[in-house]
Amino acid sequence: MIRYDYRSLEPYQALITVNANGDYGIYYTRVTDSLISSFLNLRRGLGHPPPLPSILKSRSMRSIYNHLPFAPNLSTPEYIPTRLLSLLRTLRTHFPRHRLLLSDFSSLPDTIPGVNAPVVQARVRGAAVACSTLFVRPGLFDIFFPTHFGRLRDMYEHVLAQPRTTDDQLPVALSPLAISASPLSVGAGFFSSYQPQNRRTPADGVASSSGLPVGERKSNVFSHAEFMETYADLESTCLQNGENPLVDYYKNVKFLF
Amino acid sequence: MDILDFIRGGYPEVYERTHYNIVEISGRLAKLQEKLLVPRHACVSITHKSIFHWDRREPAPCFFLAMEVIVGRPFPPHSLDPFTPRRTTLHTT
Repeated sequence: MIRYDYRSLEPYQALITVNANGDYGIYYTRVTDSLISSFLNLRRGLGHPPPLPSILKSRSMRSIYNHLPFAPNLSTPEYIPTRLLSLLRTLRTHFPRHRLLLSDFSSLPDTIPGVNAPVVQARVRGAAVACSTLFVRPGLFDIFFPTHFGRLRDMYEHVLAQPRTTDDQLPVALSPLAISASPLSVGAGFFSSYQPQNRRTPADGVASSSGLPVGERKSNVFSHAEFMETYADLESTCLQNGENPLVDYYKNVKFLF
Repeated sequence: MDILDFIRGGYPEVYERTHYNIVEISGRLAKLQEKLLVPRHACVSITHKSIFHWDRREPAPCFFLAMEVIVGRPFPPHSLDPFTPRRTTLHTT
């Protein structure tokens, strides 16, 4: 979790402490965690703005704001998907030829306060009861985070597009359909500098499913209904009253594919 | 189970070259899947491990399925790690 200092707009990372009685505390330091810094750099590079009131982006307005009595000096807590970033890196490094099909919640009800904040809930006699704080005893509560799919897609495609470093220069399985003997990167822009927006840069020796070295299709975000309308057999899931749970329900679920 | 039943029923030639790998962080669920799936589908293998400790490079084309993985899972009692995910990869090369 991070918060921005309203004076400098510098991000601060939250550290959680537990004392001998099991009580939680929280304090903020400059960002020292390397995963948090790489997430913040990535987000800056992708043009995803931090969740700050636009009025505070001007220095003079900030100065006025910071002279107001009782004005908070730190922004609303923001829960950032650092674990998600490391999952995307694992996919890139260890599954170089994967095709990702990911489905999850794009929003959740009864979340605790904050940006991208999770829902913290306990099961009481079978029913889920949401609470208003993250500081609960580990093991007894479920903590669920919503996912911003547009940003996830940008992050994912960006992570996959990173040039290979020497330590992951291991061979990938060649496709029998591969039609290029020379590295594609060498002559990539020879005939045309045009690279379709919805295609990844082609990898050497790897043809797309069409057999042409045009690069894999980039992933898209689908709502649950859109995904099911595209890929499911909707006739066989239609109820007698005409409703179709695959299309009508799961309004807060999305797909990345 | 249903995915593999579906492939076997409708696309036997694809099923023949399908490997289904499950990466399961929970020991209890890994055992359960072993018991339910393996007798019915010999192409399933279950790895009891966190994906963050995955150290093998998979060079073949595969589908990587992640359903309700990144939303997070119950906090295990011994850890404050909010993401304890389960994932599966499906190979049909």
